[in-house]
Amino acid sequence: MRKIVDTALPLVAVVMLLVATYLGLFWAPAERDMGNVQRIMYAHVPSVWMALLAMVANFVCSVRRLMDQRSMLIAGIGLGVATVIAGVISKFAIADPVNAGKALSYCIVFGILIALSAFIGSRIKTENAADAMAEASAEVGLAFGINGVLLGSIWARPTWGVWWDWDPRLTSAAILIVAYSGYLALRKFVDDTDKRAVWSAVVAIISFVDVPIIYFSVRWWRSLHQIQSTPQTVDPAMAFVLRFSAFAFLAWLVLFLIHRYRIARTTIDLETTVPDAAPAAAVPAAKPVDARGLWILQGVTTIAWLALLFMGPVARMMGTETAGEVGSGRITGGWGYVIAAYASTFLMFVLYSDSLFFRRRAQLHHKAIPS
Amino acid sequence: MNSAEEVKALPVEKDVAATRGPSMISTIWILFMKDLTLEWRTRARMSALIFFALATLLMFSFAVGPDTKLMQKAAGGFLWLGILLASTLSLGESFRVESENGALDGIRLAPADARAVFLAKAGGNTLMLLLLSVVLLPPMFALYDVSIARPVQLAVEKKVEVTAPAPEVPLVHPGDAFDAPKEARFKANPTRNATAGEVFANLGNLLLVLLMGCLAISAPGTIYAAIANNARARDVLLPVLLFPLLVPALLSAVKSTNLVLQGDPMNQLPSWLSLLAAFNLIYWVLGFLLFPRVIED
Repeated sequence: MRKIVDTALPLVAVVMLLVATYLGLFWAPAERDMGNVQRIMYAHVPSVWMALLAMVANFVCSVRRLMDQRSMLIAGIGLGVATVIAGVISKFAIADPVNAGKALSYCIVFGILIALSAFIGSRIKTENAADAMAEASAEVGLAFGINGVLLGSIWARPTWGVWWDWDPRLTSAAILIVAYSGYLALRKFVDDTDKRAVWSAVVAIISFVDVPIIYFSVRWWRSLHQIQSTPQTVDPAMAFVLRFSAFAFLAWLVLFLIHRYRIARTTIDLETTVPDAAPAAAVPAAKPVDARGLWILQGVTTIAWLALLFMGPVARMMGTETAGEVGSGRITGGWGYVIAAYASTFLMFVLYSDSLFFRRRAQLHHKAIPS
Repeated sequence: MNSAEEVKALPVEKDVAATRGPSMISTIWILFMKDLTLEWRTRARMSALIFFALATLLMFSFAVGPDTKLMQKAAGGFLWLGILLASTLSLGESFRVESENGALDGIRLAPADARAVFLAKAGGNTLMLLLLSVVLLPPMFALYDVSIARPVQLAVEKKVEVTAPAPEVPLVHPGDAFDAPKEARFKANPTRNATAGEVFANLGNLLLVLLMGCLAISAPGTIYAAIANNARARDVLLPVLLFPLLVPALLSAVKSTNLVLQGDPMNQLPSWLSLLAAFNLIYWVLGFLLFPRVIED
């Protein structure tokens, strides 16, 4: 398992990313009104999805850190069942059949998701594991979230005419980024392992309130941002590319989570088992496989770097890297925005992989044993 | 009066005699009164807070300059920013007094329910902020030239009647409308003075907004102050954690305040207040559930 994770996953991730980039840039059809600029969607939407997914993981791990396995399972399943029952009640309480059906299906889906995530969370055996995973998912989710917002901003410029607008979804996304930055800052500012874990879990649960608001903001308020599309409302080719991109991003998310988790877990285990000096004996067991996995990650990252370098020439080759025009109803050109968006995504992946690589290597070589 | 007599005056000893310890309600009351007593004995914190917030309001008016229209529009925002900035000081202080001499450990050993500690602390902080904001109201009215006794616009039919005749000279450019004689513009918006009932309604709305806004700051603020109090760099950490969280509350409080001060022709106030109420509900429940884990050892 560990070998698969360390060798196959990075390769799969980079191949999928390159294929997804090809599909998004060349294979998918241009959108009727937005033209090529719409291709930003294939990186923007999966990026935000992964951010929200990571924040859900962070929430589940934080709850697990505060509750024991058994009570978390019971509470989660109870809450899930209660959500479904609430859906059934509202089905009969709401007069409008369309809204009633919507409420029921939402409640069933969310009830199942709540129970499922509680089940997964309750499988986390130790408190240290929950805490390390919470730290990992918050940081990785923040990286994806910042990338998603950046891409949204790049997309907003040609389509809305502004880089930023204080509409509900953008505001709640900005709150997410600042709130989880605060969460990570808190983790840096508390030295005691146990207190850090509990307090940051409390902060994580409070910050998580923002995540459903982000998801539903476009439905609750009249927003500039469009509401969620469904496969029925878009071209099948677009839906396919979006799904493929989402899986490519998921592979990177899992990859990042695993590597970030190892860094956090080693740190926390060292703090809890060996309080003073950290002897070499605590780490080497993981060393050989870990190191190979890291080098493969680094090799893969190099491929991503190369892809990044070639993006400019590719854009020039197409000869249409003019800025988009707004107000005509149909945006022509706009490849500059698309390339900028994809380049930003690649850059995030590359820089974050590098950061993980150097942090883990320093940890394995005892150059940065945390206090 | 020495301190021993003061302690006796508190209703603690009656409850300690009982076997199960004081009930939740009486614990909250005792802790709440303890905080008020501490506050009343020094009175330094409240006066410092008031002067800090007043200075902030003054600075805001300098930052915007002597533009009356601009200041009237921004008055609600400035008021709430002043309260928010002062609240970080007040919240931080409310837990600093507990960490000195291990007072919080003493309260928990008393034994006091941690949830009661939360409700008492958050309630105390709310009261503190509410007092502060009420004190800030008159200076705000004076500095930013806003009023709860603003003139009321007359009915729309009259306005149409006045503006109905077409201008003799066709407007060459839309901007020309602004060059029209002053009297014409004033005629288009006839106003009358507010009645006493309307003024009281405005005052009531304003106090309601202030109360709900202070409640909204206090619930998450109390949890985060308890956390930040024991961390390194606590003065930085509290605003870093608290401010992003308070954005929805701040937004709706500012919007509601401006609606009260500037008129609410579209009747938007209830929707903003319900947003504030939802915020309060979520964070008071979360605080009630999570606070025991924050101060456990």
